[in-house]
Amino acid sequence: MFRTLRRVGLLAAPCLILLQLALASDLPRLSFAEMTDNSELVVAGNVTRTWADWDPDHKYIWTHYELAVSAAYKGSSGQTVDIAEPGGERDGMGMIVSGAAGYRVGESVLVFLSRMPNGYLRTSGLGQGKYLVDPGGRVHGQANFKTDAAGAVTTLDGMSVGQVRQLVSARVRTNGVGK
Amino acid sequence: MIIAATFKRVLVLASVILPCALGYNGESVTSAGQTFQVTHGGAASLQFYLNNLVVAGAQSSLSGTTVITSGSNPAAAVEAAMATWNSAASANNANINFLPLQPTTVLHNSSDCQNVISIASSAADLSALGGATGVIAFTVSSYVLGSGLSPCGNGASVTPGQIIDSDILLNPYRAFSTDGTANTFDVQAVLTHELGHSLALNHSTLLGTTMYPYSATTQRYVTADEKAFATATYPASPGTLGTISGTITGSGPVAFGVVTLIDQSAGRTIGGLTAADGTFSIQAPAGSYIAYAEPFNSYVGPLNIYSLTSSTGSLIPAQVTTAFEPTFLGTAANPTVVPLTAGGTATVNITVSTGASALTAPTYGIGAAGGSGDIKSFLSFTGGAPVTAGRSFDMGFSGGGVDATTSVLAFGRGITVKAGSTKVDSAGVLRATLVIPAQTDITLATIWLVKGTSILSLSGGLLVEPVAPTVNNILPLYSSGTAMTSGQYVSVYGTNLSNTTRTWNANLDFTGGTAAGNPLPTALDGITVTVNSVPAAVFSISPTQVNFVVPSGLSSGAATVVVANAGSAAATFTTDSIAQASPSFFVYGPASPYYVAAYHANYTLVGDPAVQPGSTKAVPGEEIFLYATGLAPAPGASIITPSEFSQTPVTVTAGSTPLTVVAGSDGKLAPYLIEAGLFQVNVALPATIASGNYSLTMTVPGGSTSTSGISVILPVGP
Repeated sequence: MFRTLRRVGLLAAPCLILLQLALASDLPRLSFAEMTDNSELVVAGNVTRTWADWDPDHKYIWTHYELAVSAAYKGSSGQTVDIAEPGGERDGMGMIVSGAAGYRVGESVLVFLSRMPNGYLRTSGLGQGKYLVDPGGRVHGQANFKTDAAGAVTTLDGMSVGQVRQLVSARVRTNGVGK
Repeated sequence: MIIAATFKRVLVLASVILPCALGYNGESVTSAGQTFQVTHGGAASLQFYLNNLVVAGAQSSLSGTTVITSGSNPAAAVEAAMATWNSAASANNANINFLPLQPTTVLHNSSDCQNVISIASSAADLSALGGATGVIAFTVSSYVLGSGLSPCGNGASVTPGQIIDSDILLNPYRAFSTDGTANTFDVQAVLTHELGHSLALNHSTLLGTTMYPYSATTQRYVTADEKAFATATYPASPGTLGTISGTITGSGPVAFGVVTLIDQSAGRTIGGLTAADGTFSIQAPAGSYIAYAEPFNSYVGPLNIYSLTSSTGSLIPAQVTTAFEPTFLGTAANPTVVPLTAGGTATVNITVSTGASALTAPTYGIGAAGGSGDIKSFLSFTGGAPVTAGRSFDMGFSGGGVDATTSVLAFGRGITVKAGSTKVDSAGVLRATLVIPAQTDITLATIWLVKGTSILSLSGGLLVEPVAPTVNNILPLYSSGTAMTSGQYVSVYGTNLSNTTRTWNANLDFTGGTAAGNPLPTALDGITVTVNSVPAAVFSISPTQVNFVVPSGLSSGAATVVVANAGSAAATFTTDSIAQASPSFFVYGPASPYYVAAYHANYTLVGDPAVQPGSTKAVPGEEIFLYATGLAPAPGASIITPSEFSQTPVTVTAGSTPLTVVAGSDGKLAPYLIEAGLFQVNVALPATIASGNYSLTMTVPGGSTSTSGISVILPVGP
């Protein structure tokens, strides 16, 4: 007389739940608009000399790079610009600052530079604002900008200096000189 | 500043003397013509201090904003990041140990030999961070240039490149949290990354690592790349790792090319760079590796690996060989597998296919398997695209020259691209379905896009996370009671309990056969349940509910239930207790009150036909069969022969009307256990019972269905 009852279903219907962490890291990727807007200067030129020194507060060693400016695409610069990046060696001590960019004497570069609170001009977005200019006049740097609503510029990599100048000028016309 | 007198002064070199290439991009510096590997001298007992201003609700006088949300616990998040590193080190023969975090009022000072975590508090700090829009956080490490006594005054000896002070600063113009608050950065993820820097680990070329240089979503994890660094740089004992070395060659040596090693069975991905002469040497755990080389100009480039630039300047295009396609040792379709033993060596020489690629780094994201138009919003994503193990997803790509002629390849542990799934969807996004097997650890996978002869590698671009089960509640089946009884069906409710949905299957799961006495399955698709450490028979599984049979032989008292998903980190729940009885009826229906699951004598379903088509109400005077669980301790581990439980007297009432328990075929007035977890009780309705819906109650020694919390009705009528 005993029969096995067919299961009549579970009380709770299963549903798929995907967990996603909202996390971050140390270096925000900038969009082209952000990098242009945040830069006081966008200039091209050659690195002519470098030296390291403590900042005025003697808290950080900074490595300075003198850039002989050949063209300015945003902002007004003198014939030379002092680019400073944290880190370097001084007084028998070395300092590494994660994310700092570096330059070499003799490099031909196109750089986006932002004014720091201590008055130094630093590469915008850390390394993101530095582009090397090859002998053919094309720039080489980070592959992709962050995409945003401001525009469709996804990369400058491989563009000519003239193309970059046009893009920067167009952004400045759209958004003003910014910082 | 404290500097030992024995340290020699050096000048920053203008000439480029780049370090010998290593895997996982450890820090190295070139000074006075010599290259030093940078290490933290105190890694074996690394004491960090948390500045007392790094608290929930922290405000910055610089930014005038709240830096850390009020609901956060930053100290716990920092400790969690440290624990992640400690755990990775312990499991990988690395002599790294972050000591318990200590509080301090000290702020950043590069020369005080204290490792301090703080919020940038001065213009000097903010400038080093890159200003308000600069980095989210950074690590500044001071190292010595000469040998001798440590300038820290602790009597320790130091060698060139040894870090004596490593401070981490948070950008006060950014918002941080530990609870996932929208538009904030996760303290634990940021600190896991920065602590890597404090150990002298540079940024990685692999998208899914915690050391990927750009903000990503998954940087709480320490991956195989960072683990290999830890073992190689801080070995607790020698000989754990082997060494894969070789030369990457195209039309000449591939200078500063990216080399990636993948042990697919271990789910291990490790990256590194070649030196200027095309040679490389990467230490890796024993395993079987496939290897490929790719240009160093994709998602990560020379500017991201800053030890190449910190004192010697950036690489220039003439130094970095980029005019070649990603190239496997062997072929992409059949990569050569290179065995590596602990302490052993292996050689990988790759001749790359030269020529400029038609593909450049596309944006990418994850969408539903087989979906369309749902990836577009993810395309600003960077880092390792997170996916859950044991499921299928679509990965989509946009820009960079990818189109409908582009094919997708996957290299990782068991990951396959579903045949015929590659397509351009309604949003113009190239997508392919990735089938990802279940796994228990964090792994990376690499995706290749192939268009004609052009190839683009998303190295480590897929981060596969094991499912992490959580248990929200455990209740006897069809009950809200807080006790369970041996041999009773019990439901576990939670999330990520299983990747699949099914019940046990005689053909698949009853491996011992279906004869009485053989064991019931204790795992379905890798899902296991234990009660007080005793394995339970698992009846059905789904992502949110697992049903099992309580094992026999448990002592009364507290019950700790552990659910593990395919061997992953288990979820534990301790609330219920083991009781003599905790009965509940089997029921059906869309909502409370439920109908009791019962048969007429002709085996048709008892019920209200207006609610359950095909059922009929119980008729006065008839005999019906009721089904229940938890009436008495019963066998729960094996296939049983139906048996009577005559020692368990049962009373059943419909409202206040007692129903007559009817004898079975053997003439005994008893509940019968007809299978594990399932009792059958035969009752007869009085001939005089009036029509209506009756609240049904079954009572046994030690329990009653009236305490199950489930309202059960028996419909009686003509």
